[in-house]
Amino acid sequence: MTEKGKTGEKRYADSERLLEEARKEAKYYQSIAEEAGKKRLQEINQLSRLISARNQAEEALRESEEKYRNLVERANDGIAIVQDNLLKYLNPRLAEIGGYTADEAIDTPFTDYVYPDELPKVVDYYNRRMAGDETVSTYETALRHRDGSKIDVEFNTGVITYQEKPAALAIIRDMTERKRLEAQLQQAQKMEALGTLAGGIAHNFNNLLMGIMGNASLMVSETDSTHPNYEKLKNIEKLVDSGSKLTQQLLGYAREGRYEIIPLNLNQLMKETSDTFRATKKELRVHRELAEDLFPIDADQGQIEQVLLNLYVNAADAMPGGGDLFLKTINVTDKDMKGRPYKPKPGNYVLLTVRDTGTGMDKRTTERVFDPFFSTKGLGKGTGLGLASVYGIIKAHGGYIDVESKKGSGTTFKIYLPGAEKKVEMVAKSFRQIIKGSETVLLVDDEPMVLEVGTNMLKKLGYTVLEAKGGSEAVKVYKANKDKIDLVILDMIMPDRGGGETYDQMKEIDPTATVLLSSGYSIDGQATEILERGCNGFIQKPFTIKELSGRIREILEKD
Amino acid sequence: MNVGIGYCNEKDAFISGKTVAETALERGNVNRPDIVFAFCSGQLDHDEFFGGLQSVLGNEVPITGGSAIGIITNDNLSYEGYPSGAAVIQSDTLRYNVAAVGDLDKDEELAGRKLAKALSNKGDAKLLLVFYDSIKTPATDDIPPTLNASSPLIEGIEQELRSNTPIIGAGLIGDYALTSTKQFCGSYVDTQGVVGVMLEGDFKPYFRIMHGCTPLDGVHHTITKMEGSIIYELDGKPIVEMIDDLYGNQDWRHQHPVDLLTIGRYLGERFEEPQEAHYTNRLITGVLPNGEGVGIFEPDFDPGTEIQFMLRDIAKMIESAKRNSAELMEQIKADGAKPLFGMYIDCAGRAATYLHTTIEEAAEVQEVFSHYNTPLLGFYSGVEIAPLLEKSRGLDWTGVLLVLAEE
Repeated sequence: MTEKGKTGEKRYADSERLLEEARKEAKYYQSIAEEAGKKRLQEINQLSRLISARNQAEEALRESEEKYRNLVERANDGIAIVQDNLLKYLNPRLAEIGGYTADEAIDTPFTDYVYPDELPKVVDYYNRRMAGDETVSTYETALRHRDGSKIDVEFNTGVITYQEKPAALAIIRDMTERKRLEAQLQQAQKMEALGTLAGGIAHNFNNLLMGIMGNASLMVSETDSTHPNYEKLKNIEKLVDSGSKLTQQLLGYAREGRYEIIPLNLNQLMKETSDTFRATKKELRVHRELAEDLFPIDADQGQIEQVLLNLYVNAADAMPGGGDLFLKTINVTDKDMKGRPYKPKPGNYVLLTVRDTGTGMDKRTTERVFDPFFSTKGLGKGTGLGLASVYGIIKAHGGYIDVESKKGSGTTFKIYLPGAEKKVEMVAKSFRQIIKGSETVLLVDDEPMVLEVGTNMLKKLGYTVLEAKGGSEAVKVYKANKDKIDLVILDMIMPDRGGGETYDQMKEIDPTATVLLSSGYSIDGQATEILERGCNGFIQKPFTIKELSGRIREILEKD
Repeated sequence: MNVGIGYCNEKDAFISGKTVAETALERGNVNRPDIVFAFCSGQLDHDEFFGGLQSVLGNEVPITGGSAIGIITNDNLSYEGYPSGAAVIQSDTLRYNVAAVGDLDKDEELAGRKLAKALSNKGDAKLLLVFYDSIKTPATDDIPPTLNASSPLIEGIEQELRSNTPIIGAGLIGDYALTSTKQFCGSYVDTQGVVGVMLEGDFKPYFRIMHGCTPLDGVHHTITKMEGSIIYELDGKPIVEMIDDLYGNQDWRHQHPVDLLTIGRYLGERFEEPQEAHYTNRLITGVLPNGEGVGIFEPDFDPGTEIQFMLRDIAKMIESAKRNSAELMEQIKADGAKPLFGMYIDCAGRAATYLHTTIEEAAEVQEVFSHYNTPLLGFYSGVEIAPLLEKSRGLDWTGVLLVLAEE
């Protein structure tokens, strides 16, 4: 090999070596770059995961905060935070209850919002709670509305940490509606209890009156009108009749007084009753404004007359020196009856307004005006049953009654009665004379006095009378004599077997049995049910011989 | 030119469309709309949304756009809930031609050629806007989606175009789950469609590409095995194992698409100082269920193509969005032109939720547009199309900001 060749070979070898070294170096730097890249990726990946986790945690926190904010801000109860005696937070509901805005209330003393009478109690509880003493956490108190009025509330309080300091958390419930409902319930319960009591008294009293009336009636029928005792006997009848009216009022209050429910024209009744009333009270000016297209009402005529007359009398008593009585009727619907303490059933109503310009009543009297035996008329002047019976009758007719009164400014009664679907038909019933008969009547009553006088009355009327002292005995007698008996006069309330059960058994024995129901109570739910099962009629104790004769003939002649 | 932007985030698609249109008309003081760009969340019923738009705008005004993961306007930016947005344009000087074709999933290149043919092309067009369906077959829980490729679509369009009209646009996606998308094709709603809007007239288009990926290690790798959009091997080694090694574990395999790592192709000189703008990046859509390969968003690489692993760089994205949008508006101002309307086509991967950050890079664009009081409508896309190194290309991980300016 030449020198030149050797040099070339050496140069080539050097180049190869250098190239190899460069390759190694490139590989070395590549591996460094790769390691650095790997490290970078892994660090960023880790960081990315941390950020992602943090974002998720922040999102969860945001959602949680949102959830609780919604809970607090949409709560139906007021929520407040009080710190250092200052209101630090109040939710929209509390602002609404008090009539304040959150902006104006924040950082003002919480005592500004407590009703003055309640301040000592609320401040005491607050101080004790913040001092860590034992104290009640739930109590009733009152807030002061922006307009100064009192708002009954219930506080539920506790201690929390707010902005790193102790604070009182109060959940505040507006009790206005609950209090109103409680009062309404109490009133309803009271009226119900008094009604039951009044109904019981009236029933027993009617049985007594029945004995007196029956005997007096028999004696009158047997006594010549020229006899010196004749007028005295007639007076007894009149007095019993007055007593009977009293029990009618009691029954009215007890909501037992529904007799015959028929579609009525209230305007017609108002005209008739107010004309009669005006004739007796010349010092009163009666103004009538009656809607022409007034809905008919489903009602008992006698009961509604009783309502109207009681209201007129009440108005007249409030205007001893004369005045104006305004009577008005209009059609309304349940939607027009907003803001009432009761929730009316949907439908059409007739609104009857009776307004006087009399002395009016204070709030306390107004609240008790429907209580039975409550009267402001003085001893011997009023029974205290007039407005109580009005209340009972209206309730029994599915209606509502409101009273508004102010001392010195007169009184207004508003009566809402459900409108009827049917048209008004005129019905009139009266028994003008005694009508005798010759059929056989089974008289059933557990009261010996009623049984005795009833038997005598029936015999006097010409009937053959069978007697039974109770339901069980009546069934036996009826079974043995069913072919002879033309009519059963059946008492409703009897201790051993009631009128309903007795009636059903008699009907089993003879489906054509003719039965006249009698009771010291008026037609109530039970009597109505029996009548709906086919019973032929109803007569209310006490009854006169004339009424009895008419009712019997009405049934027997119909058959 | 009057441009009004409407935005809504409402579940009822018809109301959403109606609200967006009404708001846009009112804000832009538009009484005779000429053309509408509209986009809505994949969660909305697109036909109903389109109906809502037409109920206000009428049936004659062409509505173009389609599905978007999220919406960006001057005042709103959202990819949560049911975002929707529209730009309503009224102009006496802007001329447009709208065309749309379907069957993109059958042949992207053919669809491109058909689209270009259908668009009246006199050679003086200043801009072609293209919106197409990115999803050929939707992703399942285990399998990455198959995608319609932008490269053959663009090639097909360019074959028929008589000029070097710049193409800007987007491959549309409606959600991160990469389910099916829809396109608003002027007067109807389609799927597997591409809609193009050729713009001519007295305006000038300005655009910038915002980047956001940096090379992981600067090492070049050669694709040695690839089929369609699936890469199996780099440098003769399984790519999945290489990525396992990079992450140090296999957790990344559960990501569809992959969060941080992406694949980039450098289009500049091999040994020059790397320039951000010379990269095209491809999202890794996920690993195959058998772990043998990874899918990329565009099947435009081949065996032999040199690639680099790239890393998303949040700071760079934000900086790039801020700088490029500001520079673009300054450039318009320096040219004595007036910006009339901006459209920001932003890769869905750049959204803060996806980046695991709290900063939205698109907020930087919003800030610049507010400063210049210029209407802006943007949306989150799958692929962005814009000219890069003098050729229109399908891009990924970028934000493409287009501004129409009055000369």
